[in-house]
Formats: sequence, structure tokens, C-alpha cells
Amino acid sequence: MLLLLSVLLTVINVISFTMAAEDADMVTQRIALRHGSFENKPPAEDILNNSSSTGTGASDGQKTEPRPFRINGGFTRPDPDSEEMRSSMRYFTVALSDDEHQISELVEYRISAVTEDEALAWAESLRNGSETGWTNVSYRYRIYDDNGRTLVTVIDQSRELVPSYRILYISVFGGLVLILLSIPMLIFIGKKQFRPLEEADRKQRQFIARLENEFRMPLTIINAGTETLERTIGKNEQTSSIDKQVRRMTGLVRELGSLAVFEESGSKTTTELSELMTAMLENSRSSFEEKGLELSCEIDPGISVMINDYAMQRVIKELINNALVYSQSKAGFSLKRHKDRIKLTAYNDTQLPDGSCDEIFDRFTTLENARDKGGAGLGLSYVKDVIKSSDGRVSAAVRNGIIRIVCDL
Amino acid sequence: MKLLLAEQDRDFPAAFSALLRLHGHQTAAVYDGTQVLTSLASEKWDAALLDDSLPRIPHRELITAFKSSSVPVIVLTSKRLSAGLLTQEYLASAYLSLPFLPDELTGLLSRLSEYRSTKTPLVYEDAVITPSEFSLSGSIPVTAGEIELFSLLLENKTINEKRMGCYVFSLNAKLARLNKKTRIRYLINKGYRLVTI
Repeated sequence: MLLLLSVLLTVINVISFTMAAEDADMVTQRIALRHGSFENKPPAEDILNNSSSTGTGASDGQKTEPRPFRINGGFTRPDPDSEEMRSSMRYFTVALSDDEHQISELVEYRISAVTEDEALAWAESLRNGSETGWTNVSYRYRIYDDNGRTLVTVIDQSRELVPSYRILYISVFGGLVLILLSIPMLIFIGKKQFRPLEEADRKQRQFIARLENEFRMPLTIINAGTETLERTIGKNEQTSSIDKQVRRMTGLVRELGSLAVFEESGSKTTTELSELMTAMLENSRSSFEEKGLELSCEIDPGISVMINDYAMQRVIKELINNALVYSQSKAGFSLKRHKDRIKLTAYNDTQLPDGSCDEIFDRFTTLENARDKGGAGLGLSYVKDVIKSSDGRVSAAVRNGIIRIVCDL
Repeated sequence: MKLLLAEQDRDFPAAFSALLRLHGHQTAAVYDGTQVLTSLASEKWDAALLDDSLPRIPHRELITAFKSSSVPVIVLTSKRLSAGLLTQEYLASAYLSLPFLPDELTGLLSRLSEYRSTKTPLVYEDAVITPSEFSLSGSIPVTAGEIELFSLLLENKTINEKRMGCYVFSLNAKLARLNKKTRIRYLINKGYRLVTI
């Protein structure tokens, strides 16, 4: 909406100034036809043309009744031949000398804002300019040949440009006022639009928290019961199976609980991310080698970030674990600074098809290739929560058999 | 050990009494705050497991009662272990966040028993933890988890971040509160270490 308004106002202003320039050009053309001065007679054909187009045939040589002010071309353009226009026009014309050692001659001088010497110097400065154009903001000039002489006519258009400048000021001021007024409106509308999403997210978190709470005591009791059984009747296939499943459930509930731990534990501090990442990757290099995975690291030195350091360690750990579990043959990590942003990327080869896969950051979401790996789908959700808590963004996409998880901090 | 199990969910003492007996402990179960105070007054206990939302008597009062009887108490909580929980005023000897595995409880009971009998303080520069008193510099209470963390750090052993991360924050907060120069910091290539700032 704002963009559309800006375009509209720009178009209006461009038209307004273009029309002002055309009006000024028409006047300088009339002066050029009269050999540099409105006081001279126009050529015969011009009189004829002018007579047929206006129906007056007025010229200085003919003693006719003074013409009343009228508008030529409707309301869009003033008549440059009108008495009013001619008498109120502020301009000067200079005949430029061909030889630079000769002094240029003032042909007509009807302007008080410029002295005669200034007019001559000004005309000289325009000698090498284009045929017509603006000079000193509100003066329009024309350079033309008149019977072998080069004439320069400069007209003062400051009064004629006043409406155009008024439109420009109103556009700029009005646009700014509109932007200022629309900001709170946009915030209000944005909040209203996102409220249902925030509410849904809050309800989902609340539901998971309740579910997690409800599982806590039963799981503890089942854990104790299973161990008591194993100690009294001995381990068997059934007790082992219960023990395995209940431990898995215990781990899952704990993982859910830890998702919010970073929000509670400690404040943000300056974390030396380059050093931390290098150290953690070096520590896990042997794990990659044991699995026969090629590991590449590209860490820019000296990158630090304001974040909860404990949470950031867990983020790196989750990304490393993810690469260890899901890489086919190679994995890599990079940490780069892009202007004022920091980009942490973890990538590994995959059999997943090309495309975005941001859903891996949703809780309990595992992709097709991860179903048999036993993950609960919570690790990357933690990564997203931590990065978002620092006003960062996460994204994931597969391209040419490589999945890239990007944390933009 | 002679253990008092104070938990309003009656299935809990039923399940854990059998297990703890198998580990050589004696147990008795109570289900509300009044029963806890009565049991504390009438018998001597080596340790207690306490539900953090036991009815009838406020949790703070129960913690104070256990402290004045010098009975180490393990609080069972549904809350996550966090720096906020571990730096509160009325601090128990240890916290177990539900759900927990039986060996976590038995391991904690062993450590509690060990700390109660450890008279030698753990010292690093200006930080002194007295395990038998569960205190830092004799003035601020610490939990069994913090004592375990401190002793592991004194031996330069690796810290399990997932299990002990919250104790790092709470112990650092307590050291700062006492204006001590000792802190726990994560050092590259070394992990968590005790340092002097």
C-alpha cells in the first residue's frame, strides 16, 4: 500500500516538473524565433501558424487591441504569446562571440536578479552545454543559432516552479505523515494477525508441559517396579523389554523438560563462538573417524556472540550429534561473519530429495531417513528455540544430496 | 540407612520401599506434612525423600524441620533442576527431578551418606565446601549435586553437562553472592574447570 502510494506520488511529481520544463521550453523557443527578444517581430510563417492556432495573429508590429489574458490548451498550459506572459517574463539573451578573445554581446536584458556582467559570464558558462536545460535550479536556458550567431537565452522560472515545488513538499510531508501514522497501525494489525499463531504455540507448549508432568510419577514408579522385579525374580526377556522401553520414555520426558532449561538457566554472556566450536569439533573428530565419516571445518577466527553459553554448547552438540547420526559419508561445519550477522552452518550428505525441510525443527519431527535411527525429534527443536531466543533464524534445505542446517545469528 | 518416604502418591512408597529394602535400607512411608513432623519428632532418620507439594504443612516449614533435626532430605520435584531452584532460600540437601531411574536414587543416597561422614572440607583458593554440613564457606547451603560437581572439578574430571550444567550455574551464583574469587568456567580443550577471577 505504502509502495503504491510512493509510486503514485513520484509519478505526479515527475509529470509536474516535466510539464514545467516543457512550458519553459516553449517560452525559450518563442524568444528564439524572435531573435532573442520578445520585442522583435516573429518570422512570417510563425505569425501565420500562430494566427491559425490561436485566432489572434497578435504581434508587436500590429496595433491591435490589447488581448485579454487567456489560456492556450485548456487549463494545462499558459499562452507564451499573451501580453501578460511577455511583460512578466524575466530573461536575458546573450550573443556568444565565436572568438573567445572577443566579448559576448547582451542582446536582451529583462531581469533584475542578475547583473549584466553576471548574465554575460553565465551565458559563457553554458556555451558547451546541451541545447536546452535547467541552470541554477530554477532558470531554463536555450542555446540556438540565429543568422549565424550563437544566442543563449536564460529565463527565470522560479515563480512558475512554485506550484511544482509545493506539490513536491506536500508529497514528501504527506508521505512521511502517512508512514508515521501507518507504523502503529501495521503493528496493531500484525499483532492481531499473529495472535492466533502465538496462542496456538502457547497452547501446544502448555499441552506438552502437562503431558510431560503427567508422565513423571508413573514412569518413576514403573522404573522402580521393573528393577525390583529384576532383582527378585531375575532378569528375563519381559523385564528387559519393559526396562528398555521405560528408560526410553524417561529419556524422552527429560528431553522435553530440557527444551526450556536454557530459558531459566543463566543470562546471556559474550560467548567466544569460534573457539567453542573449534574445540567441540576437535573433541568429536575421533567419533567421526570411528564412523568412517569425513569431517570438514571452516571456522572464521574471533567470532563471539551474546548468548547463553550453556545453551550454545548444547546447540553445537546437537548439530554434531545430528551429523554423526545422519551423515552418509561426509559432514562439515562452517562459521562465517556476514556484515553484522553470524552464519553457523552444519551440512552432511543425505539421500533426502532436494527442497526445503524446515519441518525438522518442529518437535517430534523426524525425516524419512531418520525413522530407524531412534531419535525423538527434539534436538533440532532445541537448536531452533535457542537461536530464536537470540533473535536469530534457522533454516534447513537439501540441495544436490547435501542437507544444510543454517543458524543465522 | 533408615529412610522416611514422604510422598502423597501412595504407589511411590509401595514401589520404592521394596526396591530400597533390596538395597539394604529400612523405610517408612508418610503421606502428608503432619505425619512428617510427627515422624521426625518420634524417630531418628538417616535421610528422607520428600514430595515438594505435600499437603497440610508448607514445604518451607518441612525443610526447616529436617534441617533442625540434621536429617538430609532429598526433595522429589516435577520441576526442572535449574539455577533458580538450586539457589532458593530454603534449600534441601538434594533434588531429584521426576522421572528418575532407581540407580540415580540409590547413587544419591550413597553420596549423602558419604558426605555426612566427610569432615574434611573441599577447598579451592577462597572457596570452601563442608560436605557434612552441606554448606559453602559455612554460610550458604549447597546441595549434594553441587558438592559432587565441586569435588569432580577439584580432581579435574570431566563434567557431564547434561546432568550437571544446572549446578555449574547455581554454584557460580553462590560464589558470586559471597564475593569469592573462585568461579567455574568452560575452558577450550579442557572443559569445565575451577578458576580464579
